[in-house]
Amino acid sequence: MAKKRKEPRDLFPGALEMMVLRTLKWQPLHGYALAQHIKRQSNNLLRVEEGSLYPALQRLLKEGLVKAEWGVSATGRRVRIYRLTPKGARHLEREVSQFEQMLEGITLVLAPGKT
Amino acid sequence: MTTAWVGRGEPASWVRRIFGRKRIYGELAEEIRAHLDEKVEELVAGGMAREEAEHAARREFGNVMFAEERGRDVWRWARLEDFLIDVRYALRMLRKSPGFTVVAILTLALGIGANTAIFSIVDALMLHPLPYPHPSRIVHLSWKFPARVNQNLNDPEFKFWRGHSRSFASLAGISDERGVEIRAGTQSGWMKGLWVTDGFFHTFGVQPVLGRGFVRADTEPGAPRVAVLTNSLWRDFFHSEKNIIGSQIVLDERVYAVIGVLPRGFEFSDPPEYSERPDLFVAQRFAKGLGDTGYNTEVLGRLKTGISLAQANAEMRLLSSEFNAQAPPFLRVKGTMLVRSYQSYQEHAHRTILLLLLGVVSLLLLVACGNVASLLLARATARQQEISVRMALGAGRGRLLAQFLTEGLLLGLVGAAVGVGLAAGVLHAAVSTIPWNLPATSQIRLDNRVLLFTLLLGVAVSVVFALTGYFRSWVPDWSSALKEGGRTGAIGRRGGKILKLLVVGEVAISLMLTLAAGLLLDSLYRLYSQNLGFDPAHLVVIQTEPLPGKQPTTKAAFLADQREVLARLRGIPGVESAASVSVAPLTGHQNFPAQREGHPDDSIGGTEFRAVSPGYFSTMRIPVLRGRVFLASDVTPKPTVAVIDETLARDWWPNGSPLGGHIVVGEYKGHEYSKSRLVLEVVCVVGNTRETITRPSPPMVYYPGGSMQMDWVLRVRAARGLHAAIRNALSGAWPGLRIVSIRSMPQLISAAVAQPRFNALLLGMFGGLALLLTLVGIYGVLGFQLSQRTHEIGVRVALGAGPGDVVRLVVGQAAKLAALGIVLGSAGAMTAGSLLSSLLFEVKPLDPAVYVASGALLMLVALAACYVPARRAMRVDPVAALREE
Repeated sequence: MAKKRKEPRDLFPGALEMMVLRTLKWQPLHGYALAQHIKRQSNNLLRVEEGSLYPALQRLLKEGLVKAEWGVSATGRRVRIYRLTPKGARHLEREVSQFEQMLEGITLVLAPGKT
Repeated sequence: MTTAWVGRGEPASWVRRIFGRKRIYGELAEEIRAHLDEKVEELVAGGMAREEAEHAARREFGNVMFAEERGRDVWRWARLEDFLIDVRYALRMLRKSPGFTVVAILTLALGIGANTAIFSIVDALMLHPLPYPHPSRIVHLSWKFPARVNQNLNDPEFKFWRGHSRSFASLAGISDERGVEIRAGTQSGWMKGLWVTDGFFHTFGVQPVLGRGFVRADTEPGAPRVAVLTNSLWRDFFHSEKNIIGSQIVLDERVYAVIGVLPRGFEFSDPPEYSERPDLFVAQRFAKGLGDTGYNTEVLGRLKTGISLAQANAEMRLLSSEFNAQAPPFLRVKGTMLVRSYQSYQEHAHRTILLLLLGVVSLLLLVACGNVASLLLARATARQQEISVRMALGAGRGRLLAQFLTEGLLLGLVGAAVGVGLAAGVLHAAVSTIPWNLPATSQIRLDNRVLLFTLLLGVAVSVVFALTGYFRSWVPDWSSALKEGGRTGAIGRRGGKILKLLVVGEVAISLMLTLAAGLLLDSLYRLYSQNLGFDPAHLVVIQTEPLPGKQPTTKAAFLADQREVLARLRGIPGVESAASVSVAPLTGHQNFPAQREGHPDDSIGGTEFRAVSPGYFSTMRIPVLRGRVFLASDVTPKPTVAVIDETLARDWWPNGSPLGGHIVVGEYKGHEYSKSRLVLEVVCVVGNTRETITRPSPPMVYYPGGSMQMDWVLRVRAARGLHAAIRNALSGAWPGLRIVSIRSMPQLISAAVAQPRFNALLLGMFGGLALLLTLVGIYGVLGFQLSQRTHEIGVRVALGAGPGDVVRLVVGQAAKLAALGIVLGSAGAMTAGSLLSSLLFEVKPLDPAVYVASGALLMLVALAACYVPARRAMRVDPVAALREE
């Protein structure tokens, strides 16, 4: 059923966190901008439910992978701006390489029958 | 504030996390609000109506509450908080059913309290080291024979071992312990003295703080008399007099020099038979020559460093044969010297009863646990619906188990706390009344080790309870349980079986405890009702001691004084007759080797001897079997005639008449044992008497006359109101006598059975508790099962079952379970029964009457427990019961 594609959700545990870290690697952002950025980057294929971003951010904060500071956004509102920590950068690298391995594996398995 | 302060590596970040959580939550909410606002602004800027934009923003965001909650969840301390919730929930559950809670906690408190109290006594007596330096090196010496152990040595043996053994740093003899009259200056009083040799203080690792201890020279024959004071005597009686050393005190009319004062805190609280602590120590002076050849010296020692008990015992074996090689024939011993640790020697006296009590209280705890477990089981079944709802709502197995553990822990720990309170109260009130001559009574207390023991018990029972409840209520298929609505809430095959098993187990254990109590009570009854060989009713026993230096100088004068005392005693109104005896029954022993004249094989090492006045047998109402009793003319300074008891008559003259036969006192297997050799002609045989209440007496020889130590027996019409007259009569006739005690024979009997009585009382109490718990347990289980079977009973009644059938249904099941329990308990008791045998008196551990009575009692309890449930079952209204479906 075509309708099902309308609700593409969190892909697998940790995927959202990985995307957040990846995005923050380029620049510090506040929550709203982060959500918009991830949506845009994924060409709306991966629609992140914006609400789920915040628990993910809290987890990253607790783990010490990102830092948050209160600041002022481009539109002049008081927002919390998240920034990758060095620990977060290392974590991202590890996660991405693991993810690529996994992807490679899945691709191999799913590839049409090359014997 | 611009820096984020949350991070893992920060110092004590978790502390801040707990206290800063409110702020985190606030920031999170603010951030989410800002997010939504921004979205709305953007959409409105894009041309959307504000209201619609707000909806769209919310839609995109998803559930705000959910996001916030999950964001907060990240920071929660999940385990602790779940635990606190569990505690709160458990408290609520317990509050909701106060009846269950009170019964469960009281039951546990009884079980745990009994264990705590008994363990504290075991702890004090068996687990605590003795209060002396290096207590493990202190040992006790005794002769070991194939069948028994003789705890005392005589002087030649003590001197031989002191001279020849190389295993001990010191050896000490304790030869006497008695009350002495002490005079110093103008004051006087009665104190407890202990006669010891040099080496005593070294053995117990104590040095006098003033003066010196005893040396070998102090114990030589004819040495000056010297004494060492305990610190408390020095403080209280001598007011801490600094110049006490060298001053003279008078003990029983003899002058002693004080040579030392012991340090504060040294208390010799010892051998089990010495119940009072000595106030002063007196140097024992050996007699000339061989010394005292009676077995009157208790020998203790301190092992040399590096010598083990095994090494010491090996040396003892060699020395034992060496001793026999050098000793005169009559001193040879067919045994080996045994070295035991002093602690284990002390424990020995109480080990059986303590181990028994430990076993009893653990069984009692088992019954208590069974009771609470069955209550919990019944409740868990009733809670099935609640549990099903919780599982349907997503509670994991782990969370459920945690919940039950919390409930169990609450019950167990509160039960343990109440139990400790009970134990403390009981110990406080009762420790001084324990008639065990405890060596260190003051050390019985609830110390950390006892409390730890109790805590562990509490936790252990908690875990058991938690698992019971958990397994019972864990429903594999919660949806069907939900559908059932918990109304019929059938307990299920497994649960029903467990309940029945619990009942059977409780009955079995209670039966064992009842049996033990029954056997001890039966023993006690027999002790009281046994034939003592004399008539104890209206008999008064006066114990006297001669005061040194105030005694008649000739034997004839002594006998005249004795006659005068008897005449005056007989003159007291209310006294029917009076007689004297050297040692009255139940007050002690007096024995001597003896031989049938001309028959060295007919020798008895410990023949009992009593010097009696002619009226003794009639006053005591000891039956005369053959011959004639003593006449006044038989009382001469050197006695020539004897009265013997049945046992000796049968042992020495199995076929002929003993009358006219001769007994040689002081001769053993053809060897002369003592200079006071006497040849007595048997003129009479009388019935056996009990000289010790728990044991038949060795053969007995009575001879006419008196001895320095004298007891007086009076046959009276009423035992009260005679004390003053007795004192007057004695002091008037013989001022040199001190009255030690005036007691009625029933009082003496009561004192003699104090220990068996206490044991029986204790076991009876525990047995009664077990019965009570069983009653409650069976009642609870039956009542619960009945509530489960209301429907079934309703159907039966509707189909024509009468009240009789219903009662049979309820009672029949209980009786079956009880019968099974009784059989199992009896089997258990038969295997464990021999443990009791040393505590029993004339009762076999397998006494059928006690078994039958205990079984009947248990059955009665089981049936009594049916009373209320059966009545309830009879009143089941079939219409109402069926409509419930």
